[in-house]
Amino acid sequence: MISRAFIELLNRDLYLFRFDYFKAIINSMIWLFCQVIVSNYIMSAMGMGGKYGVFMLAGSIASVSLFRSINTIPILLNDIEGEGAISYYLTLPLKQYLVFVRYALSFAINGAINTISVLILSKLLMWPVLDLSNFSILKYAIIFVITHLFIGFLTLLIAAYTPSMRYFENVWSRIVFPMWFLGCFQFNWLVLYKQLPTLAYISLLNPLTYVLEANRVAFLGQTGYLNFWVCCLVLIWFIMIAAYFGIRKFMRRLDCIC
Amino acid sequence: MWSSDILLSVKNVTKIYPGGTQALKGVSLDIKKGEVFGLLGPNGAGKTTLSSIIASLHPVTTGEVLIESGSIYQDLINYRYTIGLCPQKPNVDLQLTMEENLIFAGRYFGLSESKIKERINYLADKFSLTKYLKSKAYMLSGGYKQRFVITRALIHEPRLVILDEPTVGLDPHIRLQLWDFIKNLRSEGVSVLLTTHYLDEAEVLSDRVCILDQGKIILTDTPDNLKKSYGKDRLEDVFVQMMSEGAQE
Repeated sequence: MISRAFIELLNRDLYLFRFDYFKAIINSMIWLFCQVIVSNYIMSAMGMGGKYGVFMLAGSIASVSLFRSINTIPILLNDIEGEGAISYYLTLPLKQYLVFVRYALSFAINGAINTISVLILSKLLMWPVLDLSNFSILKYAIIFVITHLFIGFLTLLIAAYTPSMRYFENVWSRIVFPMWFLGCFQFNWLVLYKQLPTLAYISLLNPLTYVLEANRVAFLGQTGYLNFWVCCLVLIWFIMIAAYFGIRKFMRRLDCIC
Repeated sequence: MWSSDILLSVKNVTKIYPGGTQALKGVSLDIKKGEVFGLLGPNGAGKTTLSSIIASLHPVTTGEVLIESGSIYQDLINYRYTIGLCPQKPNVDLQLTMEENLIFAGRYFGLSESKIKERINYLADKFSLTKYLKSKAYMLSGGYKQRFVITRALIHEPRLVILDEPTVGLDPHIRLQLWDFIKNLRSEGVSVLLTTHYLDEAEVLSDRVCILDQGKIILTDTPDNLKKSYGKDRLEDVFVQMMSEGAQE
């Protein structure tokens, strides 16, 4: 049974999100706008296909939520090292593991709200010049939910294994950037496979490959990308793995009651 | 045999942290209904560990914590409705107003909106906090934040309030206000576990005190009995003598 305390903790997080909402949207839109302008107009003049702008848009929308979510890790680490609001949450009338599930869901929900807003703004500002004839609402709705759950639990996992704020720079340099950049952000997996097959096989271990490929299928159609449904299944598996190890690590780290 | 005047009982509790540090070595104590139980000891004695275990933040390594003869671990969620924790650091949500902090605290414990409002009015009045309810938490001094944290711990009318060093850093007059409030809690039948460094505070407020050193209970008694048996006028002198005897041994 989901406890009232759990629902209210999520409610509190959403309530607080309103303070950062416009800042988050502006930041995301600047990033997205730059990406699409360069990829749709500049890169096409350098020989990239006419759909490269949409290709980048699909990947960028998923990426901005990831980056925003990862950037909230210091807040959690600061709290653990400092004021310790988490100690209060861990004594509320709910199972202690739910406190960590709540963090992941908050990351996911905040990211999802951000993405919806960015999508609407992108449509208003940029979609008239982008070809979206193959856009699938159903597939996008499915991958939207999976992507944000994955981002939420990945953020929890990374936070759990980051010992302190001192190591946060390493998270970007050693984990997030390589995962994202080699995870088919600027190219699709098939191109990678043709150029560097070994790296392509290794990138199948990288969940962001599936996130970006599946998002592109929703925008551009199945042809030329990893199978959409396989991507979804693999991502669900990754969500479960990230949830299990992230919660377990936090429970041990904070000496919680199992 | 469970005595009807006991609210909570700690039975032979040991605590070894995952890093290997042993913080508690077979601690046993009882907290009676409606009493203020002072937990004293030098730094590193295990006071915060013990109060964290009673607050159900951390598990015991061995031993048992019982409430009205049943283990707290049998129904941890219901147990948490009976306790209120005021940690050492005033860990309020800094972005929220103090009133919003208290509203969310009430909701976490399933109170109705009308009950939350009633409790906030009552507690804010008791603690002279009414004019600060609409202030953002980050704008308040440490002393006010601490008072709000105590208020938050009381929002759901717990039967046991765990106050971990509640008056550290507070101005003397606020300390005195808080003392009155703790006395008031006792008169309402609420049990209080008071962890403190201030021996004058423990002496004035506690019905019984427990002195903890290096993870072990040295003794548990009333402040008056301790003063009599050591021939001292103040609890502080008793404590100093005990610690110096312990160091010589």
